[in-house]
Amino acid sequence: MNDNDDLRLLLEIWLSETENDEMERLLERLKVDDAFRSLFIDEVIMMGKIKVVNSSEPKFSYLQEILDSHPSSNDDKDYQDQVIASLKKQQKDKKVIKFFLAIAAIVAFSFLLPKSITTNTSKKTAAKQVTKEDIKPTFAYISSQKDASWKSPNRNLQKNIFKEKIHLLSGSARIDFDYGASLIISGETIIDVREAGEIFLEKGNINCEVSELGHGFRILTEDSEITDLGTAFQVEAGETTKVHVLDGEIEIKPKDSQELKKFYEKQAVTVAKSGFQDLVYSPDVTQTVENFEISQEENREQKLKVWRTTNTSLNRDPDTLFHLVKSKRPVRNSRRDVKGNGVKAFHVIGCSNGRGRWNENGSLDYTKKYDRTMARLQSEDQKNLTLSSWVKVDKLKLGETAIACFEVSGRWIKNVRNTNQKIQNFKPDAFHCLRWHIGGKGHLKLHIAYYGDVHKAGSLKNFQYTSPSVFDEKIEGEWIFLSASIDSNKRVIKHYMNGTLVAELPYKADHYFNLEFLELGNLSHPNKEAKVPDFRLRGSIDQMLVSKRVYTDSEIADLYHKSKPE
Amino acid sequence: MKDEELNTTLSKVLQGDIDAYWYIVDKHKLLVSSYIATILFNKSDVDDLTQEVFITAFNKLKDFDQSRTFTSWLVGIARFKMTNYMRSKKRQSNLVDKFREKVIELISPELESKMANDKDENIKILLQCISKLPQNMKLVVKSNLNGNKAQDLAHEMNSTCSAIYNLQYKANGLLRTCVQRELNNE
Repeated sequence: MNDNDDLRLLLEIWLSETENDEMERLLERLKVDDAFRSLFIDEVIMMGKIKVVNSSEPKFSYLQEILDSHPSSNDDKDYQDQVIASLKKQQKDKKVIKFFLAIAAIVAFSFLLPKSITTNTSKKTAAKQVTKEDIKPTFAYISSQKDASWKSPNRNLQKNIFKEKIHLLSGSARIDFDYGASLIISGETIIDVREAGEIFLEKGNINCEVSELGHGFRILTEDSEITDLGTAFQVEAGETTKVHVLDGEIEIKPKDSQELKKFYEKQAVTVAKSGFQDLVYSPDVTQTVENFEISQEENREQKLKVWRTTNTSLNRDPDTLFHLVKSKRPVRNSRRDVKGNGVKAFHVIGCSNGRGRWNENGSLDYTKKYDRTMARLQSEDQKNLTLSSWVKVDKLKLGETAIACFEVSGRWIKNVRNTNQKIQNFKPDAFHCLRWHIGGKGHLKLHIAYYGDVHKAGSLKNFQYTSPSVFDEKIEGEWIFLSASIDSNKRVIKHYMNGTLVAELPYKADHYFNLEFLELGNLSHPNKEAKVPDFRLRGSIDQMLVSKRVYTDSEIADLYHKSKPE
Repeated sequence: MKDEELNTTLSKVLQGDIDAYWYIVDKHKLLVSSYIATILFNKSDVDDLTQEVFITAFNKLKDFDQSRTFTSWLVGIARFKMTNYMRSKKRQSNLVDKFREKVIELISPELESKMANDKDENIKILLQCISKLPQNMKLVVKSNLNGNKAQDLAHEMNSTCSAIYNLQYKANGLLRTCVQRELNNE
């Protein structure tokens, strides 16, 4: 093959993201052939530029907010300009203008007074502007974790780190700072993130690797102030602070001393408040970033095998009525995406194909109001049930976030308008619907309704089983594993989040429910009346499971751990 | 943006003139976006990261060593942001993902240095050049091929995927020549 053929093939693989037998060979050529590599880079650059010039201009609204809230040297001048501008609107009466100009002069004079007096006035004028306090910057991100247990359960959901304290109880995690530092923390570790480039290590073990961009990153402990000067180092904070320098150099100042000392590669030191003590270099406080990533990769491959085996056994379980495991390809949704004992029909309206929890599978993405998924299951009347699904909510406060709903066929047969015809089919206490959804404030809800007096319009017996609020909008965009079960034998309804029981409620009714007609995602009609509660989903669903058997607490926890990639 | 003009503008920003920073953003946004778009396909990801680059640059502007090239400093921040972003999105890798990772690793240093020497003005010229392409190439170039788009386009143009990629490759060559010619004429 000549240069052009190889280049075209490489470009094709690069763009199409499709496997090809030539990948290894092309990679090798890219490695050894400088001219070939340079030609490919030119192609990639051209593609990048084309993409940008062909697209609409981005709106940097967050940057705008940050710059608007930034104190400017022109603030005083702007304020006077605003006063004059507002006066110009009232040009009807020149006398009035003169009067206000006089006031403006007084206000302008007030700028000569101490700042504390004038601040309030300035704030009033800028009332509509976003203040610094309104913008809560994200400083870091938990990019991966291994067997991590956090003191705050929400930490499993909330990956972004703001100016806050984080407490790892056990396991390990990788934290990447926007400032340019990557940390591996392990064992019980308490960190207080104070600034973009500064943390206070209260207790625990840290491996810190700082990129060229993040020089000056600081780790404070009870005993010391450690400043990076371009390096990798490990810190163990307990009764004293122990530091090992793996690469480059750092600067350390004991807290109660003025002595500032530099330490270099393969040096170690114990720092007390008053000074330094020698320490044998043994950098095994925690894993380095590279070793952590290697073990994570091995872990991922192992987990993938387990996940596949779990899927196979779930699909073969006679109690599984519905199990959604979308393939990544083909792009179109198809009946093959669902398994289960007797799925009679599967119909997707709208919905885009998203990225699932695993690279090997996709998800159903719901963005528009009419995006919904319907399935018809071969199901007898049931008294027990387990529901579980990975759910990613992109917007929590839309009203009620719908996950799934079982409802009698009337909802499907939209053209059945004859009320009597409906009544003939349903008797008092007959099942009407079972809805699984999330409240706007993060409550998990199961709502079950039965027919009351079938001759009275809207006469339904409603039972709602609601958990305490378990999350807020901080989890928007994060995958969470939700489960719910109805056990009519033990007369209990349970809600779970990420494999953990969050609510156990007494089951008040003892009727059968019908699981034949299942809808996922948006439930409300796009043109619904305003008074009717809105059941929307702006987000994604992956690995939805419906089983007619009640899963135990440990089975739910097991399902959660086996179905998550990290 | 000439060095002298840039240094004056930077000094103004450091003195608190926020409008001056918008001028800097305006003069460099195409360059930063293009660099990020060489690796990331999704345009909204490109826009988000470009914005983050300018936020970080603003916050760290006082640390910028004016003896360095401003564009290479910006591209360096962009590289860092992109690496972090890709790491945060990294999941169970398949063969193609691993292949892309290795390619990125191999080309990154040279790509960064080539982009750092580019200018927004040069990128703008590209738009004129695209308009001069033959119709079929223009269609391919404007479709931003990635993922399965080539299949859809091949179907639309009654052609094959290979032919579509070939057209893109040829168009890239023509565009490079055109941009160079336009620059020489200026």
